[in-house]
Amino acid sequence: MEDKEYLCIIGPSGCGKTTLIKCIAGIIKPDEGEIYIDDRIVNDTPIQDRGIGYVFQEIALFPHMSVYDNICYGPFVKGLDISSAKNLINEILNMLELWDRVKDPPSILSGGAQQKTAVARALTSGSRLLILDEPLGSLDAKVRRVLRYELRRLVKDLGLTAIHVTHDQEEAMSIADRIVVMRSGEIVEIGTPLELYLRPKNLFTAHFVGEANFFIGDLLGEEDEGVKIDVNGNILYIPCKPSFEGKKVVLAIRPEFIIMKKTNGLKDAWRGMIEKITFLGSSLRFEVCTENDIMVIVKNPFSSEALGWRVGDRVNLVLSRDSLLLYPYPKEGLEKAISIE
Amino acid sequence: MRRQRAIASENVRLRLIRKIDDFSAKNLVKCAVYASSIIFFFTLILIPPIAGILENIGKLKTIYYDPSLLTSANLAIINSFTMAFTVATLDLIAALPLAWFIVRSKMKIVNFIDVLVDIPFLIPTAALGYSSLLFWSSQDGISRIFGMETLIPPGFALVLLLHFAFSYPVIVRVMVGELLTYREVYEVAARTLGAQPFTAVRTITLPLLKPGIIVSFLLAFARSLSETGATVIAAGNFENGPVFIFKNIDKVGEGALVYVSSVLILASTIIFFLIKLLAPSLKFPIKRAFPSIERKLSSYEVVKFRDGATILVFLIIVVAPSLFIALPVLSALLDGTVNEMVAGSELWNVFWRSMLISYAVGSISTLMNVVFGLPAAVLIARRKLGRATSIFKALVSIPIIVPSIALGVSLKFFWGKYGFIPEFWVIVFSHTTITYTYFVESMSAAIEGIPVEMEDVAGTLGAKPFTIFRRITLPLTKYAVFSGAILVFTRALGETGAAKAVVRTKEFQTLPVLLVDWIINKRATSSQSALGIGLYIISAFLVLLALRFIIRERRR
Amino acid sequence: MPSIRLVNVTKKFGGITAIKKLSLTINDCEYVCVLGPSGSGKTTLLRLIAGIIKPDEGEIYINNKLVNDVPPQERNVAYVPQYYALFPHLTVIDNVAFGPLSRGLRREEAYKVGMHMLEMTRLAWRAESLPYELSGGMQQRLALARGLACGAKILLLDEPLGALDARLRVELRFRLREIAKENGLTVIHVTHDQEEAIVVADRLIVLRGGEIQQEGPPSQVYNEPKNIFVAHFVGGANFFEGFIAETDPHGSWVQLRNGFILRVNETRWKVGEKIVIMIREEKTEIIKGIKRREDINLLPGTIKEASFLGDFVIYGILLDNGDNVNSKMPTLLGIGKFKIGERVYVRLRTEYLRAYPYPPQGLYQELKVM
Repeated sequence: MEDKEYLCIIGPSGCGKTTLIKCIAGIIKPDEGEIYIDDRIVNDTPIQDRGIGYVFQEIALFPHMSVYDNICYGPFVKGLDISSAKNLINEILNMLELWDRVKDPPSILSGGAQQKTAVARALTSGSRLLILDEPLGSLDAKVRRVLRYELRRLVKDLGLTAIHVTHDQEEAMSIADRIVVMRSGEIVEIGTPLELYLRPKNLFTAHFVGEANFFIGDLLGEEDEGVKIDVNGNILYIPCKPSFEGKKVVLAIRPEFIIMKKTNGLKDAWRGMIEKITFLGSSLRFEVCTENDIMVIVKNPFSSEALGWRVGDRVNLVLSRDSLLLYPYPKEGLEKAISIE
Repeated sequence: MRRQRAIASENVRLRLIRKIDDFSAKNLVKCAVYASSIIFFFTLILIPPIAGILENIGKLKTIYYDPSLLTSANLAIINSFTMAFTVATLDLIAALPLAWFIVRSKMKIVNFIDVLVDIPFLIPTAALGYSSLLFWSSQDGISRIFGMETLIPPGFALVLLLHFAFSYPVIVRVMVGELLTYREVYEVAARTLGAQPFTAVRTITLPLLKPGIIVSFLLAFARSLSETGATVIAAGNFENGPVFIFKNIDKVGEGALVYVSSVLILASTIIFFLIKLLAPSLKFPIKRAFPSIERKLSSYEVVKFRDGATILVFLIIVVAPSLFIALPVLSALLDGTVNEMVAGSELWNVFWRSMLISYAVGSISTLMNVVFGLPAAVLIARRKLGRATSIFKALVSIPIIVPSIALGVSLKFFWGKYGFIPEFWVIVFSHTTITYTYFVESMSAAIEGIPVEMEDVAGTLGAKPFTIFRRITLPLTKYAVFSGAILVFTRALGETGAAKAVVRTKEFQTLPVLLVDWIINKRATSSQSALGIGLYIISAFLVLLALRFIIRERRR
Repeated sequence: MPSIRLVNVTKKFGGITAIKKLSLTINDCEYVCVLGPSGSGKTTLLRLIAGIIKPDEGEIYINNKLVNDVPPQERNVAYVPQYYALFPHLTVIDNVAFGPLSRGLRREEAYKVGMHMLEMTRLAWRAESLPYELSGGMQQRLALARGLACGAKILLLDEPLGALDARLRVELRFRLREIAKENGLTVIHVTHDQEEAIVVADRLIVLRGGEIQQEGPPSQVYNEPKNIFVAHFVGGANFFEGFIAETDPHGSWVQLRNGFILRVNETRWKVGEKIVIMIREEKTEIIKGIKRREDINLLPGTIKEASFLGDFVIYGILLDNGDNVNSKMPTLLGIGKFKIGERVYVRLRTEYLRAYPYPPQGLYQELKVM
């Protein structure tokens, strides 16, 4: 991890993401291996001397203290004079707009305000590294969406380094500089949000970071600069060479990258019929069954054309070559390989 | 054939359950069950002791004619409270680190210590008193190491040590429970903010555990205040309230008894509720932090030293005096006293009869408390009485607060009026009164632990009240029912004070009363006493073991 | 036919009114989502219908029968509370068979029904497990199976997906709707997640402070919100404060902060009235280039931030008059198209603009959902 980076760790529950950050914070000791903070090995440094600000999933504000006393706890236990830390405390209170709540006990605050207080508390001890464990998990969806941007802004404005753990891939993508995808205790992939979304190197990432269609196909052979693949009788051309052995492959494509047209005779198009339309608010989701019985999910943003589609309409799907992703067929089977539970 | 019979029997069962179910769904029936438990509480638990004292309040004036008796009565009362306060405070200081050690340490020795903690619980207090007496005061005990006749003679110091020992596990048990449910994340949060472990505990954990600390303090306080049998054995010339009543019950006029009992009842109730009301506003010192001192206090060496000292105190003052009784019992087994017992004599006939009475009294009062206490526990846990629930809860806690012998005295007056009630039943009722709180409080805590949602959902799934109780509430609290019953049973079995007060004829002496009589009036040889106590402990132990075994089986 | 009707129902807890004079009809086989922030009375509504609590005022009808005094066990309504309240001491199959057994079915039959339910929810292979051994998704399915095993045709779901991972939530909401439709159930599904509500519901009910703010098909509630709160809570929206500067038979001219002018198609406003204008984030357009004289509703500004959500990108633009606009566009169209600090125009088409009276307690207060 680099200085001043906002890193998100995502993965399904039980993938070990919380254990990982607890090891970093010193709450759990690793059985093997070393942890370095600022190039210094910290395996035997106790929690209180690591200088990490930690925001807990349970929020864990001290219920017997006021919001202000909670926020001052860091400087207080270090025996610092509160007045010397005053500037930092005031700055943080200003940024989080908590001034009118400072005298209240935490229990009467709304979830959002509690979480802000927890963040403020973690920052006043002067930590340059902030660890956030599902900081927004206990909040309403709408509040969550507002607060995540506030979090990022705070971290960037104060020039901190942050590790943010979440199971919500949308949250991670919208605020992270880089994302670590974890699954059963291992890192699956690391990359910027855009890399993970557009060019995931791993099947699981493709599935976990946003929706994707998966097709099982057979490698037919090379052609020009790419390969031809047979998916249930439909032939697709991909302009790149596979880096793996084996004939059986999996193709993936995001539903919003599929172009749906009424006009026949398009090159590489799959013909099919709309079976179901779901309203998603800012877009529509179609389930299309192709002539050779492949279920394809297509997401189209509103356009005058999309609004006109009805169930039963015959359509042509264009799977653009550049957005198709090619993977070897996993040994454990496709369903196992992408399963979240 | 067999299949048909099975179906037929299932039909009968289904029909029966459906009948009870329909019956239980009627509002009238629900009310009747709850009402009967409330009536039971008032007529058998609360009103008798109050009425017993109030009716005889006129006799109070007789004590003023005897100034020396009044002086010694007052001194005894003051001694009671001083002792209880000292013991509870010392216990808190000594037991809290042990509870901490049991919950937080990862050493293997923890399991062993955890078992040892319960020993003073399992040994009836009268036996514990004798054991302590032998350990600290007789020349066979620890005194021998120091080459003295008696290291600590019977009196204030011995009573203090004794009370310290039997109140100790109360605090450990309560605090272990509190620490297990305490959300450690607060402490971890404090440490991520830079607090040394000691600072985090002082400023965060202890203030948050305050309710538990108060509860455990009060329990230890009440236990010390109430204990009679063991105290009498260890008292020597020292006199506190229960000892005063015990010694004088047959000697002095009723005036002195009424005086001491009523003052004890009133004062203990007032002090108890005062502590309960005022203690929460006591503040822990959390206004300042001392990083460098507290860093040293959190160091490995200091922590090791603290654990070591705690365990040492625990072993020497709590475990050793409790277990010491094993030695005299063993020697009694070897020196021929057993043969005498087997041969039978007047002394041993009385012993076996007392044992029978004790067990009968214990089982019947347990049964009564379970049957009538369960609905009362539901009433409290689910706050069915609305705002009156807190009042009801406070009333329910009274029998545990008040010294049992004082309760016994007033019960003796109350039931004495109804000469037609057989003495045996008076004894049963008294034991029911003093043990009622234990069951209802532990049970209501267990029921509170089940989310109400669970019962709500069962209701929407079509279950009627009886089925909800039978298939959801009861199975989830089964363990609590059994352990509550065991608590009541052992408490009834070990009770000396109340029993001493209500027993009128020698034939109905319960076992602890008889054994205390043997020891302090030297009616039996020390060997006989030791054997009697050994049999008492072993039988109690076997019953407990059997009950626990049943629970274990049922839990599967 | 399973239907639910509430007439003027009020429920108070102490001094707080959780449900205020609420009337509502839910038809046979309808999938209704009740959407609202925490404390809006959603759970209370479900508990009233399930019969766990009784209304202080008003009537509740199930299948046209007044049920105010009918205890929960006779309402035949399947209630799935937020954290499921699975019976921890019973195995999976015992949990499911609990309902049928309680209703007096024979053991054998009850287990047959239970097994059938487990097969439907793909849990049959875990029949002998205890609830805590199951994963979050399986627990959710078990709660569903248990609720349905009594043959109830009305299903009350309290945040059924709230305890699950975000990604799983997205997968399971479709499945939830399928189960409901396959079994002909009438469902009331309570949630605070507007995305979830929009996707699964036939009809959406937006609740706030115990009162219904709006009800209707999701697309209608989304596209034609009745008030600012609904607009804000159901989907991303931009708001502008302003006042009516001029009206004519076809619409009105609205003056925003610092003299910016917008045209709206509404004619119901008087000159000088203070209003709030709303437009959905995805209905705004960002345009590079120069403004022509005849262009209306084209406001200059600077790109301040870009946020990538996966299938969408949101650009935050600071308009020159100090107002903020969020513009949401599909990733394919929008990614990397604009740079932070770039000067652009934002087009707000009149047909997408909606105007509301300015709320008396201020815009900020009205939009507060925390």
